[in-house]
Amino acid sequence: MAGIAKKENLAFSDENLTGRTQQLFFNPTEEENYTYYGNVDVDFNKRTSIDCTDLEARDLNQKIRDAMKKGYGTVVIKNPGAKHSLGVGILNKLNIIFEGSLGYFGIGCIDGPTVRVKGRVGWSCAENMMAGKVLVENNAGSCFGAALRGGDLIVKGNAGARTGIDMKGGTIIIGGKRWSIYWLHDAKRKNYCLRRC
Amino acid sequence: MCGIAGVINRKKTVNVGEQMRLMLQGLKHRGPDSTGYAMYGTPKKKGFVMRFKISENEAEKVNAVIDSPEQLKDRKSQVDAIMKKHGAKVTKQSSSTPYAFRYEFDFKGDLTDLATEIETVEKTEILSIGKGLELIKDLGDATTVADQYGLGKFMGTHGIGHTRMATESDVDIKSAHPYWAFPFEDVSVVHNGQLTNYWGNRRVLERKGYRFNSNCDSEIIAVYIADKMARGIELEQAMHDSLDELDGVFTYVVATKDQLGMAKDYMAAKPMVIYESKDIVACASEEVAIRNIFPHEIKTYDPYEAEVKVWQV
Repeated sequence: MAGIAKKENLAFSDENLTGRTQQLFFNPTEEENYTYYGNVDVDFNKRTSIDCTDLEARDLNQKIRDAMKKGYGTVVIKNPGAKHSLGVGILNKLNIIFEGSLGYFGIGCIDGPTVRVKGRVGWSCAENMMAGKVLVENNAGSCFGAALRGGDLIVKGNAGARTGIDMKGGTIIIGGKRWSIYWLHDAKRKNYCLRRC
Repeated sequence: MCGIAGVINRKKTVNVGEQMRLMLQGLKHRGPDSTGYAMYGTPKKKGFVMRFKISENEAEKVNAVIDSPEQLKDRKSQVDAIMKKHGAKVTKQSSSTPYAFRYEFDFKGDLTDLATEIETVEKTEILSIGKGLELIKDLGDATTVADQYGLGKFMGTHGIGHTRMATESDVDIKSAHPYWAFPFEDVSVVHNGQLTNYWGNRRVLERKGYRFNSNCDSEIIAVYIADKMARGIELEQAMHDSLDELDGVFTYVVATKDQLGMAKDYMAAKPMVIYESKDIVACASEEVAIRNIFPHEIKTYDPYEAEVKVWQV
């Protein structure tokens, strides 16, 4: 018991954190505590569209951020052409509509946006998603919603193998007939696999 | 992290060379080392097409042993002599590079004997023999290889292809995919993944008398399928068997003169995207490859673990 009492004096509660990842960039008031630094107010009625035909993933993601900073609340992405890593890392309220299919690792690490994909998504869509809503109108690939922490993930078609692997929170709704959850090592273990065919 | 692709056009002959080039160019980022095509033209009623090489493409190697033109000429004449000895009559021959040749020939004897003897010539490897199959592989990306071998105008029904990122064996032609299932005409394989029981299986198959030209683990799938077919097992059944007997992570695509098949392992760890319609089936490691031949919106899906699919022309 003496040890615990001593711990309280060891400045665990009031020490100033140092180091790059723990640096305080801003002093949040209580109500701001629920938003990210650099968040912007967007107007959902303000709409813009971006043509993705000749854009790299990095450029497109930058353009989405630029539009967000200008106050556009609805961003329509045309011709995504199943490119990888589109629309990742958006930590803001935003309405994104992809008019086509996404490749691998689409809309990963998002926190907040509402996304509608009018096509199919590849591997690891919405990986590590924290909050928001994602609607996929076609099929989804493997590892759909891998490491999901929160938010709603809806696919109208089928989802691939290892759906929701490492999932810790949130909801995945599958409208199709097939998905598979477990990583199988052996045919005999198939009995343990939850699956609807 | 290789890239594989396959396309099959049902009941019609199209410019499959250009289709495959576009798909494989879209997969270049998955493997820039070498590119290979196995294309299926209209099957010949009489005679065979043989693709073979008599040397390596050593352009990128540090300690390259470059064969002199005299050596190449000598090897080619040895091959010609062996073909003559077996009664194979070469009707047409052409070459795109100093080391790779295409022969059309009439032959009635045993293909295994002929192929085995041709490969006794130093550094000579038969890439393919078939009535419709033409197998091309070389270093470089899809467009480089297609231009080098004049694939742009290849007319056919189906084809498979591979862009390679070498992980366990050398960057050269003999370790590049696709692999022909020696000595079965018109069977070829491309593979994405790693096989963990390669050496064990290889020893078993070597004892049965099968030949291995490289140390590339993918070669075993071609030999494995060939071994099954030699025992009269159907392609689809052989592919189902391979899921249990081959170990590791893999997705592979097999083509025969009128079929295209894909198999995915129990862990489903290697990607594959499939588009199926009445006229055409396309499968590739990534959807970007399929998008290169279908710019409009299409419905694609992922196969599940331990799934085997076979499509007919």
